[in-house]
Amino acid sequence: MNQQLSLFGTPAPPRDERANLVIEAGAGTGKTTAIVAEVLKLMLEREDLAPERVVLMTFTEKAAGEIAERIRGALEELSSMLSVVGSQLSGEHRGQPTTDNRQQIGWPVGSPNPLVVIGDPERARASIRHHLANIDALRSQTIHSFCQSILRSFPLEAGLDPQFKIVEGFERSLLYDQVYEAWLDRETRVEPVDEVVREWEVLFGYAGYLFQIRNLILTLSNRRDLLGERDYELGSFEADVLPQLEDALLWIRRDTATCKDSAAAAVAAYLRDTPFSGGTLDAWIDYLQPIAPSLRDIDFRYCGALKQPMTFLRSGNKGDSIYDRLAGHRAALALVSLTRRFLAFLDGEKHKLGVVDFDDLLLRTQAVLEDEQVLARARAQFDHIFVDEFQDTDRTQANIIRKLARDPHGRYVPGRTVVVGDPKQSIYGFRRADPETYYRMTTELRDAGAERQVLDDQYRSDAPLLETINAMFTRLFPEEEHDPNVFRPAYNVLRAARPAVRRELDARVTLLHAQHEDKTDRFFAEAEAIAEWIRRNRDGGPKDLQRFAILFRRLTILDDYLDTLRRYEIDYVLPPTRSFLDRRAPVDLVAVLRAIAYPFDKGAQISAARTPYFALTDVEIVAGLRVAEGAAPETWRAFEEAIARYRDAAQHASLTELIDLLVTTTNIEQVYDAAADGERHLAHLERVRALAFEYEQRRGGSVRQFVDEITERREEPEEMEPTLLDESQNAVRIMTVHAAKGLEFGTVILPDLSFQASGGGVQLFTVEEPRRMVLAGGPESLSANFGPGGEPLKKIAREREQAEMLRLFYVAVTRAETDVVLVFNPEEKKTGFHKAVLTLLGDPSFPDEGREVRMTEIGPVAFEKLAAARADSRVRKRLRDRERERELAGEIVPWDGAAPEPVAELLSPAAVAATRAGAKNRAAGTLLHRVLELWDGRADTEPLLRQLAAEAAADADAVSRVRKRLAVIARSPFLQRIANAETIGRELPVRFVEDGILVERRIDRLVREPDGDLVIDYKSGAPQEERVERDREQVARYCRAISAITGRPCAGALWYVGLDGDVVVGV
Amino acid sequence: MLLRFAPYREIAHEVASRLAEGRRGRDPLSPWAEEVIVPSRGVAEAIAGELLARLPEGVAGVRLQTLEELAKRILADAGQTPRVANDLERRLAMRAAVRSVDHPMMESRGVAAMLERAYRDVRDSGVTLSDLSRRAAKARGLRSPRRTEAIVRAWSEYERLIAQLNAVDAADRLAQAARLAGPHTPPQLLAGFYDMTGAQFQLLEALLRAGRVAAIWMPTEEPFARTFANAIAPYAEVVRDLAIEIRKPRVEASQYETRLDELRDVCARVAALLADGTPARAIGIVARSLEAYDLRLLNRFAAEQGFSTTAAEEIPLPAHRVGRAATNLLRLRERGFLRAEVLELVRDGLHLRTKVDADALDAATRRARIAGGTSEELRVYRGRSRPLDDYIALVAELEELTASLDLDKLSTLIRLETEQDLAAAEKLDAIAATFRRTQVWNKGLDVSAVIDAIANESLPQGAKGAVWCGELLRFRGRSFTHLFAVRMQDDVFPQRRTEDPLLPDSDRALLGIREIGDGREEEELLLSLVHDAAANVHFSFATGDGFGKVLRRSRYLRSCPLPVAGSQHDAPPRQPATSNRQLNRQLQLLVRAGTNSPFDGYIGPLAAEPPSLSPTQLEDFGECPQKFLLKHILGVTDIDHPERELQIHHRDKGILDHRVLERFYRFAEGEALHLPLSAELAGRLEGFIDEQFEEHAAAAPPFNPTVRNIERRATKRILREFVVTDIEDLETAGLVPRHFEYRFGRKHQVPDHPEPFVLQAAGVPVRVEGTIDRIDAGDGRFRVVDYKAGQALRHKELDKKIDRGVRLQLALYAMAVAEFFQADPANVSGTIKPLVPGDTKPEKFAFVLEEKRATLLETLELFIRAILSGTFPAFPSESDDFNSCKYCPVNHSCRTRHDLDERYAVQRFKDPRTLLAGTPPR
Ligand code: SF4
Repeated sequence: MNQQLSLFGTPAPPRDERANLVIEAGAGTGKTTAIVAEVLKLMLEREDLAPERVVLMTFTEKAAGEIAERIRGALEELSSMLSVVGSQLSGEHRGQPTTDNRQQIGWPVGSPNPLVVIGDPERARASIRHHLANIDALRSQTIHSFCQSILRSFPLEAGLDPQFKIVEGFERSLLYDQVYEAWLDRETRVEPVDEVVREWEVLFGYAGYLFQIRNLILTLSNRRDLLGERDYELGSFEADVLPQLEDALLWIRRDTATCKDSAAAAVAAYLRDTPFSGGTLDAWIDYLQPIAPSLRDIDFRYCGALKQPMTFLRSGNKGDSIYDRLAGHRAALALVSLTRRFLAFLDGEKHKLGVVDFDDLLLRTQAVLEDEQVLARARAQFDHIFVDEFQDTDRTQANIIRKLARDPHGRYVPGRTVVVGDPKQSIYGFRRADPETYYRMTTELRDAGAERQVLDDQYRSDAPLLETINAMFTRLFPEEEHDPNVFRPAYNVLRAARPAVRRELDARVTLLHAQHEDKTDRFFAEAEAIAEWIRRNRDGGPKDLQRFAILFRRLTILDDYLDTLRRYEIDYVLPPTRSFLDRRAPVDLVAVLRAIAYPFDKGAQISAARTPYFALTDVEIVAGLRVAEGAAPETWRAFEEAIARYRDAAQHASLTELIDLLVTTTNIEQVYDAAADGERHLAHLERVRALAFEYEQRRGGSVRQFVDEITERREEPEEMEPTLLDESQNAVRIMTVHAAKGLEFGTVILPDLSFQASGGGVQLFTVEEPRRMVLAGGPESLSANFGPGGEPLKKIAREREQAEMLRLFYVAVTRAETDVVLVFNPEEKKTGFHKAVLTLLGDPSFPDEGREVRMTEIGPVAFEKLAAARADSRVRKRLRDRERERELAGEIVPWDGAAPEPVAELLSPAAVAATRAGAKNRAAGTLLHRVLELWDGRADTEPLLRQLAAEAAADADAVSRVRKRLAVIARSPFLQRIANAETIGRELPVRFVEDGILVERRIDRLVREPDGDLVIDYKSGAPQEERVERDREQVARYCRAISAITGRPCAGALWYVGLDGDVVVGV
Repeated sequence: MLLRFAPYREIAHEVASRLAEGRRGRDPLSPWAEEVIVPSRGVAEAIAGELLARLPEGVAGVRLQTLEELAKRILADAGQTPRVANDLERRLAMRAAVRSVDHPMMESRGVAAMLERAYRDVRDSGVTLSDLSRRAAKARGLRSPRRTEAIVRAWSEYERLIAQLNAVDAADRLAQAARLAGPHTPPQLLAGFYDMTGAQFQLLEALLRAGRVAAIWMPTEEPFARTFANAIAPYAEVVRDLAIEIRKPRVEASQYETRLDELRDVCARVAALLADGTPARAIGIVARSLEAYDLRLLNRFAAEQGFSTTAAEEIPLPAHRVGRAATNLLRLRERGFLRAEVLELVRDGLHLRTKVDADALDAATRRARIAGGTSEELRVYRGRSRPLDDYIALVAELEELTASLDLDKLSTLIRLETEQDLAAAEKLDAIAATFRRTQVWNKGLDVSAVIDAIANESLPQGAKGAVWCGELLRFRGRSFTHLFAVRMQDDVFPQRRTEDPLLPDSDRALLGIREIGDGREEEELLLSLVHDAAANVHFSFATGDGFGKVLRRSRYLRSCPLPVAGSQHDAPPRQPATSNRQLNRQLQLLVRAGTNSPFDGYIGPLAAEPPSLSPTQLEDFGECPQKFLLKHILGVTDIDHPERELQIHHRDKGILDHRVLERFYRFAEGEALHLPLSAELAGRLEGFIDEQFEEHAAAAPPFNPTVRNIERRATKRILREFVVTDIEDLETAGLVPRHFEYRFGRKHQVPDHPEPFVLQAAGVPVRVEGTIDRIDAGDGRFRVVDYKAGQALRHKELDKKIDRGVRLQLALYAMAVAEFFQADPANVSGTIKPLVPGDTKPEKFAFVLEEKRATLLETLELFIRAILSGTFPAFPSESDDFNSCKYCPVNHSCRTRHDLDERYAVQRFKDPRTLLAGTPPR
């Protein structure tokens, strides 16, 4: 057994009992490289391992592709190095194990301490060849596509249609809303049940409006994973509150002391006079309801002897009371119960439609793996699981991985699982990822013998910057004993593995002063400080702006920054900030569609006229609506006529055809193309056209229904993958800290430091010690305010937000390669990143003007204050071509729009009637033609009729009508003519080339007569002039083809033979 | 019999020359000496092309047929014309069969579809159901014998039901043809197969045994073709040409950012080839699989470049007017005659006795807040207006129509006007005929099954063009000079086909049924055929779908040269359809918008002065001048959506609350109001609330009575708490409610003060009329009160907002009261009373007229001058501040609200007053 060097030079454990592995990789320490190394080690050890038995779970599609590519690249690098060594070997002594003097082969190639070292080149070459051959089978995928493959192979057990479709984005919100309305209708109108209606009433009492209830339920349904857990208590009235409540009541009734505070006096009077001996939660709420306003106003400082009970009755701050706590709890219980029922109803509807959404993929996989038999077969499918970005795992994903990583006896299988992550980068709280799950799962793995590996070689930041980062975060993430409810990972110092320093700087952290006289202009102050700083620090090179990145935590305040950057002529690259349905192009298109769909909506007509599709001025609109004389009213009339023409087209066009007609006849693409940010408009127009197409294919709704649905849906854009940055453009990068995950930039600039994201809206979370579920941010459960230890558990939500804010600060700062700029406004609230900066640097002082470097606890820090040079406010560029913009700035050009040509050619009612008449006895008509085609004109038609009736599944009535008809036709002269002639072919395929195109046709019947051949074509229905012309032309082409083939003349005949007609038309 | 291996190009060449050779000197119309069996239309067209090169005048009667077509002819010649069950019959039969077997598996959704797919695999393997049940009984090691047994039971019931329709399975026809094939069958040439199903092979083997196969050509010797080659070997004498060298085409790969760029550039390059003379038939576009939207984009971009492809698009039947009308009609009764669906039916052309104007009915039913219901439920609306009467008659007719729907008549109920309408009607007839045929075991009309059948139909759309475009499987055998292989993405090439859950591969091996495998080799073959089929192959792929989703390059491109970046076209190159002048006008909108231009509400002096202005109208102007222009000059009104308003409409609820409070305070006027509220007063308050709710219900019966009752009980609690806090406030303020719904101005029939309140602004007399909710009075002091629903956040900091001009109504009422009651402005105040007490202190909702009067007049001066000069800029605001857009009728399509730059330029003025006053922005 030859020794194989592991990472630390200590010999790796012998091959079979490899341990599970928890790799903690700080920011910039090459997390992906660590995973690739582990997979390589595995492949080198086990050449028999089939790649499809290795699963790599990543967070994004891009990461999945990247890891697979890097593994293949590494294998190829190693195999080419081995072949070089191989040739050396063949020259010297073959087959001997290598001695130490020879140069070792390791990966990553050329790195001072390679993660993987080749022990036995011969065996390595064989296993690399095997793995390279089937590398495509490697299952590198997101956890969602992994779950999808599980569900598709166990559809019956998962209760799913194996061809299930994934519904997301616009379509998902459409489905959720329609199902919500159907569920509400069933629960209240169709099958009202008292107990259910009472819950609706309780929640209505709390929320006040139905649409508020809808928002609460749809928001809460995002925490389906928690709502599924039944063993968490939302706080119990009897245990946590009732005893104190009864004591307070008894105390006030027994102690007849009076209180100076009028509200407390009114409460005391009521409690003493109104008999009540306690009871259920509802009973208490009804009993306390009349004195609710007074309870809220109690000022317990003036309650004298009754201070203690009164303090309890007015629990919480002024304006709150024990009544609100109880009513809030009741509303919380109602909300949770309603949401659970909604989710059950929703699952039923999805089941019927055979659709799932991304959450279902995880939840249903977790559920199907409860079935022991399925779990066994799923486990048998692969031997190794690698999980990337493990700090972003949520409870459901953790449960799935936990099940797959264990054996039937519930023990973790050694060597099967490798998880990689950095708890300090867990910033997706809003997407259910909770670091407590990371801590619990990694502790479980390590208690079961997993090895812990910490990567601390950082390849991103210059050494001086890394020193400062280490100093900052050793203070912000101190080593402290573990709090089960709020996980605060300790900081591990990183080593700068980058030898060369990219830029010589006096300090790597700059505090940039930003303060404006008028307090409301704080964002302007920050924007001008940043713009001025960039202007002074760009080196003028062709790509000198690319190294700057401004990372925000909210994009809603962006306008001041963008406006300032434009005024300083500093270009920027920006991800989408709002729902694309709120942008220019989709709003314009839907406005015009609405005007087409709703003729009686005058607002819609006016809005459509004001879009670039028609570009009427408001003067023309007002004149058109005959409110102000003077300006020409006929422009409005021409516009109304154009809309009416589109409305006619909409009768016979599909939604997609109508939109295509609109786009081509109004040239809107040329208009957007000429606009300054035309590319973005065109991309949005394409997206809304794709949406309309999907809507039509899946829902088949009319233009009206599409306009109604899309106006309702303002779907927020999913987080765009950061890869879409345009590398070529020389521009400052602007994005959220979340979007910057996994990216790196030269200089990171952090504005809006004091912003502290609050939970925002209803929040549901669980706490482990004590084991409680807490509902806060909307109606609050008792557990939120009355934790068993007495302290309110809702403060844990705030503590977790604070902890996540620090981790967000860590992610933001560690994006930097050379330096970090913190935009500091001394007057700002001491919250968010601002608070973190104060803990590190205390209250900083700034020079009047310029940059001053001072030594601080975290190393050299620059304190800079810049006098903002007032740039002139440059007029925004509207068109790409400045020259054309100048031309068009003058007099308004007269309107010259045109109405579109009609789209569909309508058939005359007579033509429609003729075809439909044929349709009535379609079956009989076809049967008659089939018989005539095959009948030689003499033999008894009965057997042929019966045989062909079976083929056409014609019913008895059709058969008898054809039989009667045949008797008549038998005597028809044309039939005799066919009978006498020699039949050459029935359904004869003919192929010929017609103006360059190869044509294939079938001739019903070809007969040969003394003076030439005759092509016969059977036609149903009566000979309508419109149709005869076209049919005649068609048969003429067949005759030309036949005579070309035979060299003999060939005539044609159209036989309009049906149940009523028998007309022959010569060709 | 000779077996030759050759690439498709050579196969077509050899088969054609053999056929042409056999034709020499024969009567051109006589039957051909040999017939050809081909795997796809592509191979047939390749052979026909080569044949026509040799016989340019054309050929008649040559048979280039599939095995299924040959089988059909063999049976027809023997007088047998069995009917193969159509898709709908098979689906209905399998669903009925599933219902007849009691096994837990049969409940799960989609099991019928799974059973159909598995049954298809069994029969295509040439295995009959009796073979299968015999083998299953003997087989050891099936994954779940009980489940397999239940499956076989379901299939035998399925076959019984199909037989009852005297129809057969396609595999039966092949088996019967194999039995009938014999010496009299014309000699066949087998061209281009590398694999076939078991059922197909049974027919081929019969032909081989009868010596009716003259020659076989195979396109490849790759491993996956070996099973087929070995099966033929015993009958053939193999003539092996030099190894099939797949001619090396010139290959290039290009990478695009999005699928739009890719398909647009491919069409541009095809157009360029067509322009310099390459014939359309020499160009092809192929992809592993083409989604419906790929076809839509290809045909759209092709049309822009002036050519068309053979890829026929389809539109699902329910998306077509006739299909949609049929679906809506079928569902109408069960969904309770919803208003929107009734009107959709009229607009989609349902033939009706009651002639109606759908738009007029739409507007009327919205105003009457009718969400739906039967004519009986709507009887309360009878006699109110003609459109409502028409609507009720329409619903009555629909009730009659849908009482018993006859599927056969469905297509006759809908107006037909175009060829596509006729095609749609024919599809509905075919569905009706199938349901009629299956009545024998499919009793009763199952509406959802019919709707499902309609959803599975589609109509061809658009004409077929010249340049071939299609999927890889249908591509076999074709060859081109230029072939564009598009959408070379990993997700378009499925990695691993999942196992059949009913018959896993392990069971299939035991039962002799074809395994699913992972289809990887076949993919490799299809791609090698692409290389063989064209002189120049252009691969292309996109790295993203243009909407943020990352796409990965297909692994088959690894052997290609490094991809080069494809060129990017933004807007299409076409000539503008409208005149250049109109294009300039459209661009002028972009250039001038947001610069106080005629596009921005600056319309110049109005001819007629507005007759009289109500405080609410002036407040609208204060929030957003353009909203005032739209609502009060151009007469734009809100469009209601009754379906979405289960609660009473917010305007009606406001009126109801006001009426209750007015009646309560009028009743309580005599007594001194003090706390605690007497039981008698509390009872009266609840009584007024009940009466108002009943009055409203009588006028417009609630669609959802349960929700209405919840609303009623909540209103009682809210108004009771409101009255208690109001009385407390009155006691502390020493005021008593004196006047209720105080009307002033000529527009009222019974005004409390006939004359409007006139004030001079911008040299013009402004007549102000309106209604004041309540006027409290006490020792010479007056207070105007305005109730607001909810917490009235838009009215917080009222006094500041009056100064800013975004709140005017109450201040104007206060001025009117000061004049009408000759009260000193210092003694006149005003307050908003939110019905729901939020955490905002009451004083934040109040103001004293004295402090506000001066700025108010200044504001009015500014506003009136702006109105007269026709200055109506839009001022979007959506914060809690005053949120002008929330109740604006055009907030879904207002240009300024949705244009970031226009919006930002305006919002920097903080409110319309500063905008109009023209103080320059920072
Ligand atoms: S949507 Fe807003 S900005 Fe536009 S007109 Fe209405 S209120 Fe004014």
